[in-house]
Amino acid sequence: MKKILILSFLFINLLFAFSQSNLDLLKEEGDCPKCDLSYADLSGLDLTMADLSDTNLAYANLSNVVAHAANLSGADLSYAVCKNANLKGAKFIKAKLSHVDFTDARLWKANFTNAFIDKSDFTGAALGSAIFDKNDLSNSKFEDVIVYKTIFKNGVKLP
Amino acid sequence: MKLFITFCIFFTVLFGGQLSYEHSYKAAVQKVTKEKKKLMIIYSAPWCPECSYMKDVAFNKPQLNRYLQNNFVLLDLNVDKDDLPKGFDYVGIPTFFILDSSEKRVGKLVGGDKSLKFLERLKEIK
Repeated sequence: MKKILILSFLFINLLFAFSQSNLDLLKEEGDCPKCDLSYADLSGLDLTMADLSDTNLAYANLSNVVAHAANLSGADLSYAVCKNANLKGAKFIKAKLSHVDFTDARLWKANFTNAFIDKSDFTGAALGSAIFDKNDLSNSKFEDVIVYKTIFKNGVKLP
Repeated sequence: MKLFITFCIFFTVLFGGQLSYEHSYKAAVQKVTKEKKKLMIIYSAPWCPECSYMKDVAFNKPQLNRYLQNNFVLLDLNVDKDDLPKGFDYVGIPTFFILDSSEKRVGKLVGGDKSLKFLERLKEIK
């Protein structure tokens, strides 16, 4: 019984763990495209201009990161926490943004073209000059946001 | 005429007055000394939407507008073409440096915010 429990614990850990080598690569080189960083704690890191395209960031903690102009195109950020993150000019083109916590995030000039946005929370976020193109925003939360010169085009469904 | 003056006063109270910006450090410091206010140096650029949001929207909200009018001389510098005073390093824009009337730096705010949040951050600077 003990063995089964230990094995189950290890299996669950393996199932949910990110790749440590991928995390090291990101911290050393500042880029990690097509990596597995799911469940990783990246809070407070400087990810300015980081290439995180097609990276798995599901359930990752990105609170308070500084990620100016980071490339998150094609990334999976399902259930990621991006509270108070500085994501100015970040690219989320074709990213999966399901249940993402963007509260108080700074998303000036961020590009959400073709991103799949589902039940995400943008409360208090700054979305000035951000681009929403071909998105469905109808079930996401946009309270107290800055939408100064924000671009909504090609049939974006607003909440 | 009375109605017009009343309307002007009401409009000013409701929407705040027009802020004036200095564009030379020397002139701004002279104004600070004369008016016994603090100096806010704003590093901005025309291509920066966050900068124009702060100047066009947030700074014109009544509470923040009044606080700025009463306490600050505003120096707006374009980081791409204006001479920037030495000793005021910045990474991104907008960056706001706060100096007291003796030109001593007492605060630095990085990034803009909604007017009331920015006002809170500003009031924390003594």
